[in-house]
Amino acid sequence: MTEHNGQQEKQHLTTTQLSTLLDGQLPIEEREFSDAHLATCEQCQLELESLRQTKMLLHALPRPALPRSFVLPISTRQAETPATPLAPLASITPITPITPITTPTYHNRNTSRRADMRSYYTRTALRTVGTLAAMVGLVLLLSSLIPFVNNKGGGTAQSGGNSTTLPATRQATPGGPVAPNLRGTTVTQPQPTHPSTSSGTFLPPVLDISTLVGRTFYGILLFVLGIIGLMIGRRREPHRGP
Amino acid sequence: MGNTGDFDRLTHDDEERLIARSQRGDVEAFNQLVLHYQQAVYSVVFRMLGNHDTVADVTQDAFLAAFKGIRSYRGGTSFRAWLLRVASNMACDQWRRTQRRPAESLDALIEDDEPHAPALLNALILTGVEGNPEEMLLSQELQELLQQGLETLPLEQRVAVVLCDIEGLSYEEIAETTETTPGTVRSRISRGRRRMRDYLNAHRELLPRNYRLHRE
Repeated sequence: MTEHNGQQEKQHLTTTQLSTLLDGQLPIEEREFSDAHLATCEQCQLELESLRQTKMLLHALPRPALPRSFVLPISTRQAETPATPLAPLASITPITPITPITTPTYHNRNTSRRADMRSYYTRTALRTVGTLAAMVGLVLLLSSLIPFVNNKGGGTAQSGGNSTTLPATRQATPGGPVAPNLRGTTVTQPQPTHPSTSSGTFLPPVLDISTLVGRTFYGILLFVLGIIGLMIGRRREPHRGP
Repeated sequence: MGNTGDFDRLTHDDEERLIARSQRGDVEAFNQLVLHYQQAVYSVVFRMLGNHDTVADVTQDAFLAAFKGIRSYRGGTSFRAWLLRVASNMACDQWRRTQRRPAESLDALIEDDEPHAPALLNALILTGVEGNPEEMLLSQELQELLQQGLETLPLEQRVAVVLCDIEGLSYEEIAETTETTPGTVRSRISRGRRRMRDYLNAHRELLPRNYRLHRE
């Protein structure tokens, strides 16, 4: 008897045994062994208690409030034929003919679902485009700050050249903001008062992306448009938790 | 809760009649069943998916699918289990689609047969109401912690734990719902509970002071 008790103490109950015991589903023979072991094993008692408390906590979770009723529209119809030929029919009404389906209901349901999917894709696209626009806007805004940073920190000739590379390549005509020197490097010129396009028409500085003002303007514009796009395309949350 | 109202007292015969009428395409009869079971179905989907904006959509789709497939329901088995099977399957499909935490599938592969865990959860329960789950009131913080814990469980364990510990289904009903054996159900529940217990123990520092373990 002492040896038997010693074996019981060494061989603790598994979590599955304890969990099943908790639910009163343990077979009678296992139950006797478990009860005998639990009477002497503090470790298993603690384990059982922790599982009991976990179960109690889960059981005490309140039911979430229904956001709405889920009754189906009266026009809802069942499928015309079972999905598989082997699907069993109801045993209660084996001979009753199946009510024929009216397809408009399916059309309504499918149309509604397609509309939902379209709306989902539109919102996703809007979010993506908005994010990209906001990022490009931010880059433009930051790039417009580079000259200020350079001036403040005694910017190097290299960085000054970088900031004017685009205008130098685009506007090699006389009167442009940048002109290459004999060594092939670029030199920053003062901001033009009337930048011109290749066709000779004048653009106000605010619309010319090669100017500081223009970059700032386009940066702010894209950033704002991007944020608006994100706001419009954000995910809808029809209900909240309990 | 109020939505179920008078439908709480749906007798077995009434249910049989409503099912038979639903199988003949009677939507109004099926809607009586919806009113009776919508709270349970919504609750299961909610606990499966968490506070997510698709819970209502999945619940609605589950009822629609149940109506369209109700002819495949055979009398003599639990209609509630059949309905919850439809709902939990759709919730699982939705969860897999979202793939919010793909790393969990690896965790699910880890077999876990050690007999014991180190700590207890004694003080997760409000003082004064211990031993009486009906009167237990959980703080919002604890509710959220429990929900997060549920969402860390592998899907099969989550279904089993939700159906057993939250919805109160028997092992047999859960086996019907999940189309498995009672032995599998027993294993999934125990592993799920153990994971939940470990999760709560690992996060007890996030709980209010009066929830902490008092054997520290």
